[in-house]
Amino acid sequence: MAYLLRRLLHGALVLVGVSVLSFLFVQLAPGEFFSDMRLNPQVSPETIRHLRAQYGLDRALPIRYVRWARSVAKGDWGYSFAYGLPVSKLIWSRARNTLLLTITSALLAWLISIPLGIYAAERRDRWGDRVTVAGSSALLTVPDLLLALALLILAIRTNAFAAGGMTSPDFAELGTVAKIKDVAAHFTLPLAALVLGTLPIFFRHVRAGMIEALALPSIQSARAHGIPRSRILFRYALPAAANSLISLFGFSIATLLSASLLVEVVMSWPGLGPMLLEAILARDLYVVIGAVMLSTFFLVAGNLVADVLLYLSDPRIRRGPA
Amino acid sequence: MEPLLEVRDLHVDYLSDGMPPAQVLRGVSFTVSKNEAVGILGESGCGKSTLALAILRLLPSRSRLKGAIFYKSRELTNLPEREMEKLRGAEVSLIFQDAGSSLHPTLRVGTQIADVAAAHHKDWSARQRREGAEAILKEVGFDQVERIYASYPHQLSGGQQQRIAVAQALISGPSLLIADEPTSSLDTTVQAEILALLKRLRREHSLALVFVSHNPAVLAEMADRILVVYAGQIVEEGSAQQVLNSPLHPFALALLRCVPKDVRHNGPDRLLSAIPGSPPDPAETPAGCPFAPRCAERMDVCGSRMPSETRPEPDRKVRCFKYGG
Amino acid sequence: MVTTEPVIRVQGLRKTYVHERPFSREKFVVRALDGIDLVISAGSSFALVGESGSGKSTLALCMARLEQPGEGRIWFEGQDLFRLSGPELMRVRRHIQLIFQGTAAALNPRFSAEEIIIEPLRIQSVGTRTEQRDRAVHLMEKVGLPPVWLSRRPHQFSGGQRQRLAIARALALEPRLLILDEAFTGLDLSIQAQMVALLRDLQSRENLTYVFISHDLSLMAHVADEIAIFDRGRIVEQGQPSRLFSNPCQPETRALLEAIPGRRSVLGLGQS
Repeated sequence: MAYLLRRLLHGALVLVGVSVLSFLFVQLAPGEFFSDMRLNPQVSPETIRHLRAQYGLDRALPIRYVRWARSVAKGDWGYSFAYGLPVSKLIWSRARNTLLLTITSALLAWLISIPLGIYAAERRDRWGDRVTVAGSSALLTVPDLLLALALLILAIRTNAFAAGGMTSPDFAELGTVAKIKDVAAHFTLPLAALVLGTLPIFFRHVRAGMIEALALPSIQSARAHGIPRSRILFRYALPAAANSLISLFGFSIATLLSASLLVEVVMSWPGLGPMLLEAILARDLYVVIGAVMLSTFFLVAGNLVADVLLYLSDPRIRRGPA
Repeated sequence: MEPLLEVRDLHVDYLSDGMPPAQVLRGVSFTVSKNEAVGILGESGCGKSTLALAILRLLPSRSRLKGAIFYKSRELTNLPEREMEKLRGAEVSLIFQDAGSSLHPTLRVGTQIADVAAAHHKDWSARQRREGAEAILKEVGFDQVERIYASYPHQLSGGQQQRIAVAQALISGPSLLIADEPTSSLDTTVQAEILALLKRLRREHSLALVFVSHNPAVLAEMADRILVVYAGQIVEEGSAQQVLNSPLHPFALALLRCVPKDVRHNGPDRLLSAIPGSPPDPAETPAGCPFAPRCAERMDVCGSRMPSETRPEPDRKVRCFKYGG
Repeated sequence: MVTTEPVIRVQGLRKTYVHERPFSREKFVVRALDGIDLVISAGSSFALVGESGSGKSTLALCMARLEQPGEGRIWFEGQDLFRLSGPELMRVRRHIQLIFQGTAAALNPRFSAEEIIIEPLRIQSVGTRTEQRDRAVHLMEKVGLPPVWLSRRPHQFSGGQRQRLAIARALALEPRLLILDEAFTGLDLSIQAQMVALLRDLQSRENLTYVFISHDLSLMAHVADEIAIFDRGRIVEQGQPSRLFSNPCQPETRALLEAIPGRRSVLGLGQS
């Protein structure tokens, strides 16, 4: 238990640290939300000063940080200048869409890469292995952006998938089953882009981990005792490779999240990505900070889940010495 | 009588990219009879562990095997992997040097023993497997069987871990046990316990034993017959008595002089005498006898030709020009 | 060269470890050292022999001042080890070197032999770059390795040669006391015998004192002048090897003698 509490505390500290840093970095960027207004002759400097005071932008940085922290405690996470809404309300609906995309693609990518990696590791240097490794290398060299664009073109050419957005224009009029179908159709393309983008990385890790595990003395010894191949692969070698894969799993949530933001922008998926881009361009500072905090939270949570999994899977962590 | 195991002209090469293959075994032939204990003596890197792995066809994928291995008259080198799986553990078992790393770290030791039973007795129920595992734990000398069954390897001492490895090796009733330096990483007192255990189990299970070691003193305890291996070849073969008391090959003699002797002997041979130099690189093919550069009795012929095997006495073989090779 | 001051004098050394288990209030107290007194004279070879877990390694760590005892004192050449600090301590540290089991296997694979050997000199800023290089050449010769191999990396050496390299590094700072903690364990007999010969040769040429830590009584009988049998944190018996072998007084000594492989076999082991 002490182990998990320590991890939890660690995660909380990371969040606080990131909030401070992101506050500082956002200040470093030139200009602010009201800069553009200054160019507008119709807005008097008086009005701008008034607006800045209203949002507290005229205060010193530490005071703004404390105010923001208080607003976090209230559950508002600051105010969006552009929308005039609490950041939390703004982000939540978007975050749901992003999470849907990220988690599904993470699960799918792992679900494909684990058996594929095991298959390749078991047939190391033979045909099946060479083909999958070559395929994954090719996929790895394609930038995520290009992959997303290629899929988009494919979708438009073939008309097989709905491209862009999350729902069709007539979504509100559809029945429940049709609604799900509609979302799924829009879902396929960004999902495919994300899965194809991360699959080669996961696959390579699984393969490398399994090759290493299969060479372990404990696996050799299990083979020497005649334990069947399939049981060795799944019951002996996979758990032996698991520690590094679990750590990667925690990390993968964060990587997928950043990949997801890009794919969302390209495919206009109504997630955090397009909103974050818009907020950065408009210097809508609290929205940017909110999005950064949310990503950090996912990263910390992913790692925490990984720690729990490690704790459960490895008796050496769980029990300590006899 | 038909031998239990016969190895005939076995060659093993390890392959690596852009390098000449390492010839780890260069034509090894020997037999093991039922109930017989054969000791394999050699320095590390001489190929003796490879020999143990080759018999069970557990060599790494980047290797090449030539020659024939017969177990109960069945040729093993071309047996399908499925058939090998059935043979491993049930007919021929292997225990490794470092039990700490040969046990799986995240599975309970009881499960690991029961898994071996499950692999060879498909009809056993979970309860039968557990009972079988507990019975064998008792046999290898554990009292608190249930506590041990539920332990993880890291909770056990080195000697206990090696007992678990022995239990795994024996639960499916093999006829041949191959032990690769099973006591080298243990304390002397624990080593003595494990050797005594293996001796008792050998008798009780009428096992044949192939015992691989770098230590002639350990083989003096365990072996009926000894093969001395140098640079992938058997350079001397004879009964334990013959090889240990009156070695023929200069390498065997030199190795025996490295054994710390009882200090109460105060003769000149009380001191350890070291073998100069190191074993040859298996990637290089020596022109003459591979031991020649380190040999105290080197002759001119040794550097130019490989000696062949001769039989200076009945039941004894040696590969050295001193004996007409 | 005979000095009256012993290299090591240990008096009343005690050390206990307390283990706490997670989820349990139970505490396990292990007496690693339970009142140790001993004297090791300069130029001698002293062996501490016992089973693993008997506390002998803790004593070695205390002698190298890598571990603080709970009670008792250790004098190195007359200086109280645990009262030293600053430059005095640095000087004494140079004179005490440790070689562990696996030291040779753990040499940095990215370093050349030269870098490995002169690393202690660099850390202690001893000598100029040229002097360090000369010293490396000299040390290679001393341990019987050709100096032209200084540019090689550890993987290009055989197991026995790596052991020599580890010894060369330990000798770089010209220690007066070399502690070898299970340094022979896991080595082939042939390499073991080479190491014994090398260590003996080095001792005959310089005023080196060895403390061996081992579980192998038969080997220790060949390298040590004096053997202390260790059991549960205490020295149960101490004496010259031939005396211990011919007339063991304690059951622990007898058990260690009994465990020597091949001892009771009728085979003469090469005494042809």
